[in-house]
Amino acid sequence: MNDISEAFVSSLGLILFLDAELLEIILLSFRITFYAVLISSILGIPLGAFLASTHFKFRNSVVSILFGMMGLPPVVVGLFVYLIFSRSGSLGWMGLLYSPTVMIIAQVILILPIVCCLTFQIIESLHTRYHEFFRSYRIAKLKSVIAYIVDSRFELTTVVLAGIGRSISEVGAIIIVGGNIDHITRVMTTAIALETSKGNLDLALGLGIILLATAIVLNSFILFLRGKYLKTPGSTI
Amino acid sequence: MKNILSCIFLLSFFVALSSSNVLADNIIIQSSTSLKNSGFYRYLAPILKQYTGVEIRVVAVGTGQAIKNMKNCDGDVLITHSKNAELEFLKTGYGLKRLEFMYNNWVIVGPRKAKTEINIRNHEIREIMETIYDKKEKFISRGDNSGTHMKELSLWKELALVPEEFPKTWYLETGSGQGATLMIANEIGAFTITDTATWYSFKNKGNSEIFGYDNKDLNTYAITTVNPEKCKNIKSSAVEKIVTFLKSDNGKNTISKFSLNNANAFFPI
Repeated sequence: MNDISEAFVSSLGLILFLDAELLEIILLSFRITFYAVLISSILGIPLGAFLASTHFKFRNSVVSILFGMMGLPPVVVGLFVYLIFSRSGSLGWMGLLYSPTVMIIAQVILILPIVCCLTFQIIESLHTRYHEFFRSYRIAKLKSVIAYIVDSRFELTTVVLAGIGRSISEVGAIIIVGGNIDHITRVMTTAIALETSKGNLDLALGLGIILLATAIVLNSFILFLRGKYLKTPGSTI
Repeated sequence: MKNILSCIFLLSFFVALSSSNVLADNIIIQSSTSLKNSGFYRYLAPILKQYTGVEIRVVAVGTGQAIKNMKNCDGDVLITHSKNAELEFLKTGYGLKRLEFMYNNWVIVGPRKAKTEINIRNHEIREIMETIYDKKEKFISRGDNSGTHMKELSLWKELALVPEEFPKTWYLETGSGQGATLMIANEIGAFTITDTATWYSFKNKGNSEIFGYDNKDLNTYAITTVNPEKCKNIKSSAVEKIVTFLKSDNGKNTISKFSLNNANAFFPI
């Protein structure tokens, strides 16, 4: 109990006397989350939409595998990415281990299935409703997929938010591939892990409160943008 | 249009944030966790930068894993505290030379109330461990192949006891880092082994305290350089600068000035 109240005091202190180091950690967290979610969305949303509106031989197996990958354990992904980017691994020559780039790569592997599957679910229901319509007007496949994505853009914000949530709170993968190096690859979650291991429970929890606060601010910003979009009329279907 | 503009603005903002720091000389140290947790590297890094111009990036994992990572060439130099494991690393041809540069003491910590309850009067780590074994007091092992874990196993071996055969009712393995293990030991009132620097820097002591020291062996930290023939990517000249500094009078002075709770954490060799 004592630790919890101390945590609020120390988090307040951390926010009030926002030092360069903490700011650096927060900004790196944002940066990694931003790129990981951006890349996952660019790849995952069209892929999900394509899978939802197309029927091919092994579609169901591909979809089942993707849905299963939503539960990928971060530690296993971290280890996998580590072994690939290790100097002795197949991509070791790139020298990317212990850099923010490889942390983004690990997170994309974690987030891509989530973005892809949630998009799949949203677009599939649209597809069952409209595919007859599209067929009768002989609208090209690509055009209809684009129409699905544009039309469900509000629902897709939730998908992006889910990706952000997973990304910003993830620690297992990025601590392995990033190494939690001071000033280089330390993000909020790995800093929390470090402070916990030092026994600074109040500071760790304080950082946790800041993580939660920044996540809320980030999400409300996106929901605010979404709200602005919702007010402007103009749906394609 | 406005929204597109705001998106572009956001994007450029993040790109600006992502300006990578191009650094002339930086090396990756594969290290034991205790040195990072005690704040030693945080203290050492600016001093090293000032005197050698080399920036250190520390990856803190257990000694066992640090050596494993080094065998994959994921780093430039090794700082660990398990002599046998380091000598083994040298023997495999990966290690080039091993230099001991500082030490502190091994300690056994345990629940304060146990002192009167199980009547531990002696203060030698081995005798205390024997008492723990006899009385079946709770003992926590790191179980993660770290330097501290290797030390614990060698202590049981000296006592001619085999931890694998201990019942899990009192001998528990956490498989976690030193900090997490101390926290668990503190929480369930168990004994565990650690070193003085880690113990001084650990903030959540609660009901635990030091019961005894290892009077025979020291906890020695060594810096082991890597054979460039095995790992072509390592930055030998920068590593050499670090090694030279740590063994210089200036470096020794730096090490002995690092204190935790007004006590010297490490002693230079």
